[in-house]
Amino acid sequence: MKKFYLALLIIIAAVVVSYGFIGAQQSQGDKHPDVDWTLSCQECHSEMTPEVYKDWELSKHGDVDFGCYICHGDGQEVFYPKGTDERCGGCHAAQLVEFEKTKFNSCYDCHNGHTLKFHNE
Amino acid sequence: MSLSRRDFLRASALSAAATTLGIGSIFGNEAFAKAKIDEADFMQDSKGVQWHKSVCRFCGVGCGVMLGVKDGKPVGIRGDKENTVNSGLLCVKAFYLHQMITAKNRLLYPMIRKNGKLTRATWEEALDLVASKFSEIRDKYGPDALAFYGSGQAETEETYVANKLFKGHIGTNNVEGNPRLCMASAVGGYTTTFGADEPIGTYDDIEKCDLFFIVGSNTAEAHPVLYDRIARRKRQNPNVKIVIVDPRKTPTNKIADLHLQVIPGYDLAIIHAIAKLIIDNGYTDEQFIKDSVNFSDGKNPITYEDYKKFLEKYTPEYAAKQCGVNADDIVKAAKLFGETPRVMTMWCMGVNQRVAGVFLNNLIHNLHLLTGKLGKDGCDSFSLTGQPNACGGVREGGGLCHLLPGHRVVANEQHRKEIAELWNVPAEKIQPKPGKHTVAMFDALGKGEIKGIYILCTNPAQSIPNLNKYLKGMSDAFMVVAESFHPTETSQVADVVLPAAFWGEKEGVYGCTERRSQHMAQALKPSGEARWDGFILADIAKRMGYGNNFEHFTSVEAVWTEYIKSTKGKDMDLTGATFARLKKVRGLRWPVPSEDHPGTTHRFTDGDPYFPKDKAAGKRMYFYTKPDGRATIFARPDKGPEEPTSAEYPIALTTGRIMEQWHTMTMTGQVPELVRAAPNPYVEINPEDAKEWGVKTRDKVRMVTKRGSLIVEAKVVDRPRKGTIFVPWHWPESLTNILTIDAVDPGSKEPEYKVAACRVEKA
Amino acid sequence: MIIASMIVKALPENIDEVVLKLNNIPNVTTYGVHKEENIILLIEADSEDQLKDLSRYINSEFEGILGTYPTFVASDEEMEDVIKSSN
Ligand code: SF4
Repeated sequence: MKKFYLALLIIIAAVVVSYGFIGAQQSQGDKHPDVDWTLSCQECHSEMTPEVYKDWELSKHGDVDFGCYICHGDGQEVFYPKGTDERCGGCHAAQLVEFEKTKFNSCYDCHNGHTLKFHNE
Repeated sequence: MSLSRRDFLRASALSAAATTLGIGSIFGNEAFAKAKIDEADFMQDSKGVQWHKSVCRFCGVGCGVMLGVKDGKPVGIRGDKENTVNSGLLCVKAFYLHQMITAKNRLLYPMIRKNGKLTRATWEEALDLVASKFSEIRDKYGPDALAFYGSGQAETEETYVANKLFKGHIGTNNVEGNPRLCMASAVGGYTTTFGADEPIGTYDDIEKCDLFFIVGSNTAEAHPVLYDRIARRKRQNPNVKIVIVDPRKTPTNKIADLHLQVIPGYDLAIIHAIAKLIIDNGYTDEQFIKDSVNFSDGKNPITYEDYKKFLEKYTPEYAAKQCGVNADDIVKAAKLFGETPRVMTMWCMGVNQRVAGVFLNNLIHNLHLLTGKLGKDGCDSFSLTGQPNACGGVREGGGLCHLLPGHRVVANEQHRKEIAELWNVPAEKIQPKPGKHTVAMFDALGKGEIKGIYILCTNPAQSIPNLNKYLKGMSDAFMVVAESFHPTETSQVADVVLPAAFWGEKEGVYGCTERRSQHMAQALKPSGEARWDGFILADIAKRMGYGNNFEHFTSVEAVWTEYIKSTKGKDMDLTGATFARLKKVRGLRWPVPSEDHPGTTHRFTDGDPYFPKDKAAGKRMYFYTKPDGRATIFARPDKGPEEPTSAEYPIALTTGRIMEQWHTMTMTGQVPELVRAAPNPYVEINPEDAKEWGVKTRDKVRMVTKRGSLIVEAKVVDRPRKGTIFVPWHWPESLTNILTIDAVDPGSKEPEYKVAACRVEKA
Repeated sequence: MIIASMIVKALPENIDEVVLKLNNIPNVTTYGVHKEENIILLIEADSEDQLKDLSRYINSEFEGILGTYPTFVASDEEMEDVIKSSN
């Protein structure tokens, strides 16, 4: 029975996210390649990275058309190669939780960045 | 961390089931919320960020937003999970609000035009100049040579101070605001049909509604969080149906069961046809009609029988031909409307921005009155608002040329008396004749009839229709612009530019779509030399010699407290919404007549504190804002657009917004992420048209109307119907409103942004 | 008090009816229809016996049900342990 509860807690922790969106613009080093900046993210990525694009399109973010920029920045002035937990918490404030009190370090421990589903599905 | 065991267990149980099905955490969030960061932690977190309760600065949904501040700087935004409007969820615009506070284009000091150039000035200089110029114009040409043009984004308190100064002290009713361009037809519809402005129900109805009838609204992009509530309702209850009437396929279509893709400007016949089918098939609520409805042809009362006769011509076939849709689909829509017990109609600019805007509003109300689907759970004729405080500040605060605060009109002597008394001015000071409505106001600027204008928190040099005709007037007149940002199309041609404190730097009240007034906290000091708009106006009042009646406005609260006195005993009673109370709660929905009153979910029925049980005598609804308590069903003609397509201009042009941008991009244009979503101005073209014209995506095309022409990139996409193009109007470098028509609805004076005839050619 | 959740599979044709009927059973709440044929149920029973009775009733007395799949069972007492071990 204990094992079952542990599994459960994992699920619960997966639903919750860390501490709010702090708009600190920390760069993660990597730069987005210099491209034709008159294009929107989707226009280019639907051709360049069709699989990722498809994952996004079928996700809840894709459903409401919240584009790449919402997690990755505009690519030119701000760029986050990987999404940050802080950004998740901005919109999903109802899911805020203190990670220190869970066994997890990031939203992305469980949620796939593009499909937004749990990894194990 | 407080945790109720049972809640935890319930949440765990649901989560387990959801995970098994692979559907994530679409529910159970509320139960989880209890296991999360508690209120105190939420407001002041361990990283030293202080969170302040506020309301989103953008659309009329009125989402609760928390602004995070550390060391006097805005550091973040998150949704307010305690706010029942959005339960913590935000859309993309709000997400970047804190970045706009420190945007590069913030205006930090006053400027005065000297030798043709805007140059930095002190507040003393600027305010003295405004006051002396305005006094001079008033003395030389009379009060009606002055005007005020405000905004549905200004706080209620700001509009109130401006109204008091211009209508009550300077003595002109030339007080307008941009809600004239978006909500005036809805106001016209509500006041003619029900006798009072604003919806009867609230957002609470969404979670109980089984049919959403969406007309002329791209809810998914224009009101994303509301759309999410509707979509969630449907996801959890697959029986819920969604019918859309719109010339475009929009992202909202993702949840649609039926789409009537009408020709722009011709949808009135559809609504009449649905009304006819409702009657023919016995879907009416005859008792309700007998109890609570009158009929009118717009001039005189008519009978129910007359109305039925009037509808005879509106067969589904007739309407289908008029509107370019399938007759079967109209029958389907009518059947759904008639058979579904709980129906909400929602509409937005596609209905309001039309020369038949008020008529169409009336016709929508007709459907709900015929079926009695009003004033009960899950039912309403519910207009969506574009701006965050069009309802609260301008419609309720009386910020239009025919209105006075508290749902009053200037034409009513009693109303003038009441407000004059509150303002401590002689009743004669307030003119009985309405002032100039927006389009007439800018026309008068061009003609030199209005010589001085004060523009607050809006950008008419980009937003009014048929711009070419009005731009010169704006640069000729003495124009004062109070803004948080510079340059805008308007501030560039101003004579004086005053730096206004922005959202987060001032407190105040916004009133959203569902009659909910919400307090926004001041979390920061104003940037640079910026000041609160209310204080700026009061200062000008003082310099013009009206100081006595503005002296006590030493705080935002003082203004609010005076304002709510004007609502006492009115249908929109805010007496119980004191400043202190609003600071604590997540908004209150009027009428809220006392501090212990919780607010009202449905008006004109049991539960509304003003519902007169004695007069109603057993009737379910009594429209106490009408003399006999009955709402009116109108037999209105199915008027088409002002400018139908022609051989020379064969294409219908319609304009609107996209999700990532807001109006004239003054704010959202500063956020690189939002700009990236749609970096260039464009026009949506139907693939069939594109083929015919030999146009591909990213080709340049020229759009020509009788009023002007514009070149933008083509975006070939199956969204607009064939023969229609759609142009978003955000980009200042590409002024869409050069093309639009300035014809207005004769009742509401709202321009027809949604339909113009144009020609498209490859550029 | 015992709290349990289960997934009830039903034919899409009668699923609305099933939901309605399920909601009429005391101590049973439904949480929407998912992926066309799955209803999520939350049951709050006084005892294990009552839970069994309820499950049996749902399984056998309802038309149009394809099957029931328990996903979670716990009692208040066990809960104590969970909270302790998670802190
Ligand atoms: S839906 Fe409207 S109010 Fe809500 S966050 Fe988006 S823009 Fe702001």
